[in-house]
Amino acid sequence: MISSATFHVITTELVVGSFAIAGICFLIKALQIFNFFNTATISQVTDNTGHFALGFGLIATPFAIMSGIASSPGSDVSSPLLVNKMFLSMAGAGLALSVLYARYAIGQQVWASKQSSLTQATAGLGASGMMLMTASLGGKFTRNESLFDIFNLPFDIILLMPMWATVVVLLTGLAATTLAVMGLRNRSAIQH
Amino acid sequence: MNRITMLCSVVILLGFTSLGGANPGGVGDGNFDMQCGGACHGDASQNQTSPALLELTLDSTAYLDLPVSVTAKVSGIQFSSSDKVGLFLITDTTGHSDLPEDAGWRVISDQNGGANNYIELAGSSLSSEYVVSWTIKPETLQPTNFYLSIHHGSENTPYFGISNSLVISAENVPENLPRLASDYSPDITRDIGENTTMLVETIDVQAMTIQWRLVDGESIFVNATSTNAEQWYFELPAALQPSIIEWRAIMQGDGPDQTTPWFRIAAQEPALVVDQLQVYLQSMALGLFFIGMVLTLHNRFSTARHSQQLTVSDRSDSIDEREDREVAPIPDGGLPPGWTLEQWKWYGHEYLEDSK
Repeated sequence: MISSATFHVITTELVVGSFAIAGICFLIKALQIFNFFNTATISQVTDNTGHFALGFGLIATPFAIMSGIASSPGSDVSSPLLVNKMFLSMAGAGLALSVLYARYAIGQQVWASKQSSLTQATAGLGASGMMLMTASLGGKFTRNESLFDIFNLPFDIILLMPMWATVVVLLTGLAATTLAVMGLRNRSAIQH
Repeated sequence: MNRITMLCSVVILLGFTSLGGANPGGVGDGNFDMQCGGACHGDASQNQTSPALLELTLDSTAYLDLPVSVTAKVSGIQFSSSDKVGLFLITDTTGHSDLPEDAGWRVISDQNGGANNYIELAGSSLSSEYVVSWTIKPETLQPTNFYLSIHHGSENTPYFGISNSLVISAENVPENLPRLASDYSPDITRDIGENTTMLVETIDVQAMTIQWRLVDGESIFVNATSTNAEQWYFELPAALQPSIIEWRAIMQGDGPDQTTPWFRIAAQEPALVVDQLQVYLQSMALGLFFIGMVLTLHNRFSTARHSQQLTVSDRSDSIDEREDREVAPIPDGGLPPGWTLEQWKWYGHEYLEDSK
């Protein structure tokens, strides 16, 4: 039997590795929009690998979160780092989910126009970046040092919205997601 | 559907594996009984006897309702890879109801700046001796057995050890003894960067000197100031980083001079005061917001592309229709002046209609 701390290390390495690969793939996809590395082979490889790695990282994420909670000394959100970690991981997970759903619903047509390609590549890069920052915050929390220290990011500051604003954002997000999913599903049904 | 159910079941089952895991990195300080919630160290079928030498001593006479220190000496520890050792101050060896509180004693402060019967030590030497102490207060005159128990690991083996008993009997307080008030509990934590005024409540005290020091540092003596009868205060300087200050009071009065046990006050980062529900809700809101934003953009671009495709399709249909249509016969005198053949192909019919 392994400890939750060791299990957390394993799962976070899976998450970080997967999201790092996905990030590289989406970076190449973004460059392809501006005609760098714009070959059919690279396009297909980065498309498949990027989305697969993103999906795998997303599956490993709940295990990392659960083992992280089990291995932390307290159960409360007791530090600004932990609060920012939670914000970043949820925002990253949201972006990753939307990228995967868009790829599933629209198919390869997601790369058909410049705007759509930019949206997909930017969201994929954002998801990877946020997850890597989340992992970096874990190192900062446990060892008080991280590779991202060079950027001097203000992780000790929390941007906490008032409750009413949170509810507004939550409802807006929920409504926008529902409408967009319905729209994409209808279009998908018409095309098929 | 069955595959999804199966996948969800496996995910949930795997998720539970981490909750039952061992804790080689420790569990943090706290108030725990010797079994420590069924830890491997307390399980006779899994643990081995620790080679550590454990010794427990009482620092001075224990009086009812007055704090007193108990010192533990630990040597010959085999450290686990995480270099953590857990030490318990307990009052029973049955593994339950063994907290000092259960026997009528209260833990006032511990070595790590808390008020727990279980503390964890960090270290890496196999030969060093470690000395830790607890400040406890008797609330009973019954003789009580105290034990020091140790949990540690080495080479994937949980070790367990327990000291011989130390019997402590509290006595009634003699008359005129300069002492702390029976309900006095010193502060044990403070925020970093803040000067701290420590209040001390006493009985039968006419003068008070405070001795304070950083752990293992040089002692500094200050005279406490009396605010009114039996209330004293003194200042501790602000800490610039997490640290522990030890202090004790030397009290003078009609009775013999008394020195309190060492109390500890830990300087910590200011605790984060935040509504947990608000944090969780905002996290969810951020996740949903980004999902909604990206999918809405995709939906919009997809709609635009779809309309564009429909328009192109309509135009090509209309061109095909016109090509299929018969070209109007060219008049005998040839094309009307200024007309090209292409224009005639498209608008010749209209010209002939107008000419009628």
